[in-house]
Amino acid sequence: MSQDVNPGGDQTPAEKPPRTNGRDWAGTYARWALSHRKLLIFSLFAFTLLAALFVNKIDLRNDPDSLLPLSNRYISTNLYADRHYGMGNLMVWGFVVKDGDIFQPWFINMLRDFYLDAAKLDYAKPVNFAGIPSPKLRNLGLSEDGSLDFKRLLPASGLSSDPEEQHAQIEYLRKGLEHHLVMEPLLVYYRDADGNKCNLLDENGRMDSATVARVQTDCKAVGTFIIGDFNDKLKDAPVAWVESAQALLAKYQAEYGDRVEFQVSGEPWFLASMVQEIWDKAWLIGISLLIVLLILYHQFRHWGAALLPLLGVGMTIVLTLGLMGYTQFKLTTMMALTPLLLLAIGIGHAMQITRRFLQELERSGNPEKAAYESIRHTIVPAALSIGTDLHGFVAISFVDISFYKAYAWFGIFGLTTLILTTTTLIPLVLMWHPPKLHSGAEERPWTIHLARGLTRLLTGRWKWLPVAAVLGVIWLSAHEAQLGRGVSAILAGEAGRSDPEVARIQDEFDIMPGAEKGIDYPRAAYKDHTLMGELTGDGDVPLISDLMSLSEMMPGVITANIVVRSKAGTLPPCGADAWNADGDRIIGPDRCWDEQEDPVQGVFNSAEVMEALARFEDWLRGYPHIGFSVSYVQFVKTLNMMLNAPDGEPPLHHMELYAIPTPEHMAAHLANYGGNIEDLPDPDASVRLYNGILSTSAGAGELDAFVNTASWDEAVIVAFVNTMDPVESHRTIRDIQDWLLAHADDPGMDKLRFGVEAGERITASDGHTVTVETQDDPRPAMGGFLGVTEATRDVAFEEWIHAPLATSTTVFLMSAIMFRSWLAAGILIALCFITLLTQYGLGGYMTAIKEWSANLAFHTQVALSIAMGLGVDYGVYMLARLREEMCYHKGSWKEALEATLSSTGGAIILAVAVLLASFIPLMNTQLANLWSVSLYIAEALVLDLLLALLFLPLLVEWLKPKFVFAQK
Amino acid sequence: MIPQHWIFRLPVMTASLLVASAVMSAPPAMDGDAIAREVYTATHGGLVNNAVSKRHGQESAVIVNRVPLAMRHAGRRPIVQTFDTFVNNQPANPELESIRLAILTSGKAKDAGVMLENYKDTARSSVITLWLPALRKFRRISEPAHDDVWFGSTITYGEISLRRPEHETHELLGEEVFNDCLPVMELSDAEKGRYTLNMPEPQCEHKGRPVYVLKSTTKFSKWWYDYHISEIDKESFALYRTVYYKDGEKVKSIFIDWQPLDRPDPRITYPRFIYAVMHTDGKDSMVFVPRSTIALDVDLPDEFWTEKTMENYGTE
Repeated sequence: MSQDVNPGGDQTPAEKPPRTNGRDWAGTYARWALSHRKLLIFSLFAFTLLAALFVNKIDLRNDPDSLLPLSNRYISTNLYADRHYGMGNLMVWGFVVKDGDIFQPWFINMLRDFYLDAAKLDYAKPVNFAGIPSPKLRNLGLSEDGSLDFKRLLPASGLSSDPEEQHAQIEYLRKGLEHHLVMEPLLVYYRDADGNKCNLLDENGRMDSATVARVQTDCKAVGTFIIGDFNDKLKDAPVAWVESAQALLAKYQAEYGDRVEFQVSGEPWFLASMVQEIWDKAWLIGISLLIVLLILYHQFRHWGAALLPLLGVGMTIVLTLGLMGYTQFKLTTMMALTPLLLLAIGIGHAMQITRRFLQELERSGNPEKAAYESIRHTIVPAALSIGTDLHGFVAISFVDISFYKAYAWFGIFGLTTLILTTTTLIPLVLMWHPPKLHSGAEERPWTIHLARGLTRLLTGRWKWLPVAAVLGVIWLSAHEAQLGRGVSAILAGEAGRSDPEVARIQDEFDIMPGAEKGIDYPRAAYKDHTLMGELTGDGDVPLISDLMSLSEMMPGVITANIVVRSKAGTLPPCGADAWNADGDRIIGPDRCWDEQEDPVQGVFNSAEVMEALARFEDWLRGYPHIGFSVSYVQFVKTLNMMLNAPDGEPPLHHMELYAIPTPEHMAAHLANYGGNIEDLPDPDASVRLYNGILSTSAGAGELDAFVNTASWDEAVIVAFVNTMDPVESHRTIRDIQDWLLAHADDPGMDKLRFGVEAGERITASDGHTVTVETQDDPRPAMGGFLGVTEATRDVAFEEWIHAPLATSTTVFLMSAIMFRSWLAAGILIALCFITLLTQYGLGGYMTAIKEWSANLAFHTQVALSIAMGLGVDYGVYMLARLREEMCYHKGSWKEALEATLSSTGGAIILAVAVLLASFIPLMNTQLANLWSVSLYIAEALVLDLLLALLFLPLLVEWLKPKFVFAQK
Repeated sequence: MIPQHWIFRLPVMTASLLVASAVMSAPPAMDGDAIAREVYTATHGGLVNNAVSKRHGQESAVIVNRVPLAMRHAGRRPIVQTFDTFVNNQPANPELESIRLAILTSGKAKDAGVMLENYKDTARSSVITLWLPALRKFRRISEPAHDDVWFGSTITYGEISLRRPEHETHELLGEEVFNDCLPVMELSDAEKGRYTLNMPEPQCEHKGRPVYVLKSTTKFSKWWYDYHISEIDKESFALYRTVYYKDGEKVKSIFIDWQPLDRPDPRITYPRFIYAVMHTDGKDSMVFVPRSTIALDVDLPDEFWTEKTMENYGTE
């Protein structure tokens, strides 16, 4: 940053403006600005007003799908699954009774009312809602006369007002739920007398009569859930939607809060609440501005001079926000960083030009001359400073992540406008209304004292103290990032690959394995507690505490959507042209498929395939981090049990029939399948019949969330994942992929493929096409939040070291060109690397304490490049000033150092103070992404400050670059 | 994500489509309750011993269901099912009021059969028996609920069969002349298939018929509708149009094209098509029974309406 680091006034050696090829470009620009000042001022204000009209058009949203590259196979698979099967915006409402169990009339009535109200929320897809009041929740038992009974567990009209009938209805519901294989584990929360959760599935993921009986004997059903699905249009109006959802919850909490504990979570709730939080905490910006104003007043001792920088920077912010609104770029809540970064950086420039104007005014007493001189002296260093600031933004503009690009493009635009709104505009306005002369341009006593003390430290025997501190920081950072383990694994070569972790480190070149790059999305979105909350009472963030609570009560709150398709494909359905006017077929079954008459097609009519998927799902349910799963296979298994249980006996007493009717299964349960081993039902015909029954008896579209009923050739398996820990999430997805690869040639599985594949371009049922870039990885992709999490990890591993290295390369080259000194550039880049290492160390520390809001996931990685671009300024201007002071003090290192520390050092400290003040809003919302990014940037800039003041002078003194020491 | 169990909302009431309508002479000054009773009798009774709808050449009775509009993307085809039905209004068993048999004749569930036995004692539930050809077994299932959807359509079992006049209060709003055409499901070429190539056009021949306008309010609390308004032919008590309301908003409309069967007794009619559309999401269903498929008072023995017929139907 360039804040005031360029010396001003006649007391410094930098009075001569820069010249290029003998021409005074800076003077020319200053003259042009003064001669066109009316036009400039009018234009800037006009454009600012115009931009202000577009600010409210900013498309602020949160959508992980749009954050990440759409060509990533996980994102493509997720997008395809969302578009094709829905279930992309799931909400979960949890209800736990404080006394008794859920089978109380008032509770059931409340639940029904809530269900109906929730299904009326905007963008709801009621067909995909699930809960006890759902029309889909049906009995799987027998009626009194012994017939199979499939009535709704809860009547559509709710409970009767007649107590006797009501009691009978509740008993029907209780018994129906207690025997519901598919829905009970998902919808009912059992707790024992000690308050521990009771699991309906055993440790292998299986549910049988014994596990069910144990839970029903020892535990009480104290909670239940409603699962809701919403369409993507919600993302266009998230705040209005979340307000209506909050109002709904508040209404029921007000009426039932003394008897029911409410919990709520879900992707749309999370993402919409984040946007709402940004607007709710906008007032924090006022605190920031106030602190910045006080710092400016401290600097200038003049309210007008203190306010003008805020005006200039404010114009830049409005121009940038207006551009955001005009372009309708889809922005995330993380973009809140941009205006505050512009504030932090812009104030520095504004302070520099304001101070310079005051100095010139004090010297000449002529406002016009003061404006001319201040622009002339400041424009080049300001441009150079902004140039270095832009490095980080330019580097991340090449990353294929939309919010990185948004940061980059809008950051570049905003920073560039600072030349006009601060360096040019402020002197022009001050020229019209010059402040009264006073000593606002002088160095403050504290900077003089600080410079004196630091100079004594750096030139005395205690100079080793900063060196030791730097070495300590480096060691600590490397230790936290586990650099040693990473390097060892890389060096272990092929011999070390027997250790999966070594192989992983080598494959991913993860030389700092201590800093986890994966993401825990909820924690990356929200902190688990806030400082402001702690100060005012309960600091817990409800979104996280509810999520944690729900994830303990439910089988899992994030999903892995596994898209299953056949390898062979199917014929297209016949259109109207397949028959002539007489109804005779004229396009044969070799070219199109008639569902009514032609032999069935589609791999989901094969018992062998269904059995293979059933085995896969059995494994999934037994996996430690998969709490439950649902799929079309479960429908078929349930139907098989219902239809083949002996007449007059409850089907759930024959859970052994909860299976795909393969020859082996039927042979093992011969009595249920006709009793004659020579004349067993045809497995494929049985599966076809079940498909036919299900498709004709379900409401149109009701099976769409599970299987493609047009082709019967693809479906989705949804697994509920019970962890959000990034390490465990990655392990889970890898283990699922390993299982699928290991069983790829099993009977049935050999006909299937999973996820959208590399190089593939497919179209979802809504016409949306997804394309996957070619990736040399045979592992099947999957969607759901688990897939998005893995995609995010993929991206993070591509960028965690790439983007900072790209930034450092450009910084190095520009520094070398600017100073015409490889050594000076080397010193600067060395400092950058130290800072970068500390950021990796910070990521390692956050990983070690499992603070998943601030590990080195992709949302924090954006800070690395930005901080490097900003932080290198301190070193640049220290070097530049040392060179000038060495010249001015005729080679006296001590005097030059003290003068540099007094002027530039003081300015840097003020700059960092402004920056930290600007980060107040970012640090104090509930949003973890803003907190963590500002934490990483603040950490880096504070360290850059310390390195620039305490370590860089030592390196310069020892290495004696000609850039500094060859000056005469 | 959520498994759903409509499993046995099977076409158990399919046969009830083919119920001969008794055209009654309207007594003067009827009130709402009387009209409702007449409508119920007309649509649930029978002036014929038996009635059959059986595939005839290329024509077959068919039900077509389309998904809600929001899910109806390009290339999305409706769900189509053809069926044969056999109604016996004079069963030998004196306890029985009727036996209805339906056999699915196309698709994956082809040859699956459903037999519905209705008792004269309205307190007794119907007996529904399924024939599952792939498993070669019969299963009995309990009577569905009023609001269960029939055959995956937008029509409920209550509307098809279970709802009785006493389940609602009826108010005669007035007498008018029916002046609209009855709409049908309009399919694009991409949505058409073997059995939907020649679906009927909108029916306008009922224009000018005098109708009762009857408001019927449900007695069920928190029901899916508050009331419906029906336009009923004053002469035949044929329901041309029924519009359901919930909270003052239209939620569903049903249109039925009643046609004569060219019998000596002009009171005998049949529903040529039923078109039902949800106003909430655009989901719609169409049942079409071609005239060529219908036969009345066929010489079939009482034993025809047994499980054995279902078992052997596909192998005949």
